[in-house]
Amino acid sequence: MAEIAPNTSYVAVLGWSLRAIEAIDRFNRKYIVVAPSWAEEYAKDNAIPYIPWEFERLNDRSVELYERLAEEGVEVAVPLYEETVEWAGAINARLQNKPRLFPQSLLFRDKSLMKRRAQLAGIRVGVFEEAHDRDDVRRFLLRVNKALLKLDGDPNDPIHMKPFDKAGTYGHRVIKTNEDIDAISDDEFPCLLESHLDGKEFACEVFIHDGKIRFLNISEYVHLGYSVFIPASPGLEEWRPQIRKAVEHLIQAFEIEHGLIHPEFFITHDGNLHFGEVAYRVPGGNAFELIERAYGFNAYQAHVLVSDPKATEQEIQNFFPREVVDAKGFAGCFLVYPKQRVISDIDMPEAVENDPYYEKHDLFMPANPKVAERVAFGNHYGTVYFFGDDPDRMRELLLKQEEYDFYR
Amino acid sequence: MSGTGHDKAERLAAQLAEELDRLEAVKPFAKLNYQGHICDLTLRLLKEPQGVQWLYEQAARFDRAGVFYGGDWAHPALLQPALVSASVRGPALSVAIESLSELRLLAIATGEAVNDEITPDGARAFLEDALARNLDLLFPQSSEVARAERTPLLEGVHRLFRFIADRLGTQGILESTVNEATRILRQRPILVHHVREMIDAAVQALAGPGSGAVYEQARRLTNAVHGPSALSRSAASLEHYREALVELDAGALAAEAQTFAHSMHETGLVSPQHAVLLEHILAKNGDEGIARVLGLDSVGRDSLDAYSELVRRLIGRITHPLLAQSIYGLACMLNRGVLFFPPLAPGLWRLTRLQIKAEVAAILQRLVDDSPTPSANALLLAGTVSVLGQPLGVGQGDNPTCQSARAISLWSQCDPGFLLELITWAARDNEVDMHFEGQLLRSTELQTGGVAELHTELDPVSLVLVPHLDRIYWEMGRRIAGRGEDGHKWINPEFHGWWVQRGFATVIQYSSGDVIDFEGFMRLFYISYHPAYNGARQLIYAQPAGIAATDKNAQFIGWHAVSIQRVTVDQDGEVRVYFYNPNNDGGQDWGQGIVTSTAGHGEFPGESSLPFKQFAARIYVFHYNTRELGDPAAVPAAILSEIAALARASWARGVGWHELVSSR
Repeated sequence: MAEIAPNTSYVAVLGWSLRAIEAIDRFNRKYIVVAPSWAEEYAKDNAIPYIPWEFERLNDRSVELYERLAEEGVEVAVPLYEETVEWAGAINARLQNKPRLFPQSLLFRDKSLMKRRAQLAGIRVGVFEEAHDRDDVRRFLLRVNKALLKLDGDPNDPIHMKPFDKAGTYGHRVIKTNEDIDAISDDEFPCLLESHLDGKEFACEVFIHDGKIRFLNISEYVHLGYSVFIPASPGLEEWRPQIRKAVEHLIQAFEIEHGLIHPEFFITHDGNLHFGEVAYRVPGGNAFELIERAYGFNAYQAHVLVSDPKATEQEIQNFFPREVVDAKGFAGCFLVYPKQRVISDIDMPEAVENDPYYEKHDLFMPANPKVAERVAFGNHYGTVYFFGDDPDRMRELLLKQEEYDFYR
Repeated sequence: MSGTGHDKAERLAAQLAEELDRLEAVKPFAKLNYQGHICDLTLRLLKEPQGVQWLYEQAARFDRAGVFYGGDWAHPALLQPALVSASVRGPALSVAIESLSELRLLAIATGEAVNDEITPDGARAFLEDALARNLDLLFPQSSEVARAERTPLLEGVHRLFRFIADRLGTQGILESTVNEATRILRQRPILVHHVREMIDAAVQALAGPGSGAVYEQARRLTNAVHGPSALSRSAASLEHYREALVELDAGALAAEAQTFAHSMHETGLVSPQHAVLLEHILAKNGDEGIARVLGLDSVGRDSLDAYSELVRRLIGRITHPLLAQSIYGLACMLNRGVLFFPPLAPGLWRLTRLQIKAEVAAILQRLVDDSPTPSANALLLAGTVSVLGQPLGVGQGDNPTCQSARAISLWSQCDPGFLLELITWAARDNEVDMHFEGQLLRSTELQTGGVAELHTELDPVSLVLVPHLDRIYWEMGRRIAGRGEDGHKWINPEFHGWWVQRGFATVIQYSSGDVIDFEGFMRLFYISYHPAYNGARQLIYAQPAGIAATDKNAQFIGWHAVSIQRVTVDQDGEVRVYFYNPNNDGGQDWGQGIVTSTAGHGEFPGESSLPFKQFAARIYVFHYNTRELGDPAAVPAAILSEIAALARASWARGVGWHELVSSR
């Protein structure tokens, strides 16, 4: 552990991520990791401060974790994974004596509740509904398309179906036809249905302290579920003032004081900003790695910093660089999904290895050579990282990756 | 080489250096976050012509930085040269780590790095051994097939091996190669193509003049493969050699024959010219000439005398340059005297006339790359002669079929007439029948056994028989399912023959996998097999037995089939178990100082041996003769507890262990 700065909070990290632990270990806050018992041996062997805990649904025993942490002297809980967000809410509510933090965290754990909250605050969202069975989905698809004045036989506009409480694109389905609806299994209900928004989708990583935006990153999706780069291209960055305003609106609506949010928006063709969804934790899809590569600061440390109510103005100002202008270049990544059904080894295409923008990959060869069928946008096999100074070239390069097979 | 290529390697090397800095700086628990990128950079550097040089410049700090931390390569003292081959031909990630590890060892061997676990000499010995086992990668031109399979990455590995060899010198590698080839050949395997490849690769290292025992032995082996006599070496082709033979007078021909025979029996290798010579002598000379060129001993000469017509027929069929190696099998078969066993001569006659089923013939023909000659029948005969001549030379190849390989070996020893019967069925009918507890098992009606697809680098007999045997063996296994005991108790006597003893002991409780009554089991083993405790009774028939295979770190690998050939006292007065291991190479390091010997302790070629106690520390099932046992109380408890300690610290580590409570 690095030297601990005076007048800082003792932080509990909820969830196990070696990258996060490594970064926080190098940071200047006292910390302890709370993770399932399978991590115990590794933590013990490597002298990582650790408390075992199984994060299931909150239950009567949840208070035990609070008591453990309070006894330990922990002052702030920081969630790493979607599943630990409500735990952090519950624990921080007690630790910081702010009872509303717990119900607030639940807003992020139920996408339907989240949309309602946004709508109540006057934020523009698409049409959405909760579905409990396939008939609900059928009706929603029909009603949305009717509203769009589709005639019989016209192809439907798609709708989106998402689990209430899963991170990112996990379990996300795009539905256009009755066959799509038949393919939904019973255990995917209840879920959220949304109308489709045509337009450019993008995500932000927003570091918030004391209710104020301390750093706003815009991640440009080149192809949702496949490729993204940071900072966004000038074309998207042009929208930064509007985006900043929308994020501020969101912060007010969700009453966020400290921490990191990860909202997704659409810019429609008519120039309107629509809210998609927001997570109150570390983003998936490697955004943190890209931020570090582009700006040089460690986003896990940033997350801990802004989560700490004791962090001073000065410390925060010293920590964060200026948005966009301080970026050393564009950092992009491509999520790899094998094209073949059975793979025998990683096979990096020569063209990729020889590209001056290519940096590294973290592809792995799974124990099972049979490739799992891709469900929605999920389960990629690894990431290929790029870095360069031309956003257009980056975009082209990332799109080009879709032609390659990274496995043989 | 282009400047850009050089720049690229330099750029990658700079990235590697940065990444190593980062890796070195992080705490051990986070090393994992950086090792992947190091491997990626390594793979990219390996593909660059100067990449190995750049990699090596950093090699001294690999260990310090934590490149291997937490992985299988973390402890150099535990690495095994035998595994290098699979690693450098394996998945990209293992190629990267293995390459980094080799370079680290090179830095240690040359004194540029220091490691607490391994000395410079130890590192050098490891690398020499590893390179000796992968000469095809050091000298890739020696194999056309390897050429076709070469990828940019494999080219990189080739450059890596060259780089290491250049720094270590080829002398040590040559020594390792020749010693390794000699060690394997002493076991007289039927399949020798791997050894031949090693020898061919070593020849290239021999280009310069050299002297000393290793060079001497290397020349001996090369000559055995490519021409044992001066005449055979000087002839430009087999055709030229054939013509040269015509010019020889009787004395010179006899000397030529003697040279060939001597070389063959000394090395276990046969040159293609031997086939030409044998053919020539068969046409021109009487039995005396044949006996000379085959190097027959007195029993062999009697065999030839008694079965002259059959032997001449066999020679006529199998004498083909591609089948030359089976000449050694033929000589051994005659010297064994096995032809005097009544069913053999008619059985072999039948085989010479056998019409082989088309699909079986096609499989056999693939052994000679579908060359029209020799015929499938000749291939099968050659294989049969080899198995009959070298029963302990049968190997399972790369197949998990130790049971079948062992069965073929045992039949060749104990029941060769039955073996000929099986070969005939399999070749002619593509079917083998056996009975199990009164019920007929036809191989063609059974499900696949343990192997879905047979690795075909096998001798012809195994190639034809193993698919059937494997199915039957597994079917027998299915039939005993649910009896709650180790099925070999019933399977072994029915699968092999009545001469497998019905007494059956196992130390593993079938239901739990726990060790039960180790002491009682071991006492029984001593009073069945150890001459000092079993009433000095000799083993009459070799017996199948099961061992717990362990690696050199004494870690359990799996259950393995061997056969106990005999138990006797070696030249130093030590009681040893001599056994057959179908696993291609009988020389193995099982950890705890248990290293199986294949020569030097009175082993017959193909036998492995261990001091009785050491063998006992790995055995877990055996068959025994219930009527011929010694006194269990006579076995000293100290010996038993010593063996139990070895077992518990190796294969039985972490396994439940239950001794019976003694009533005494």
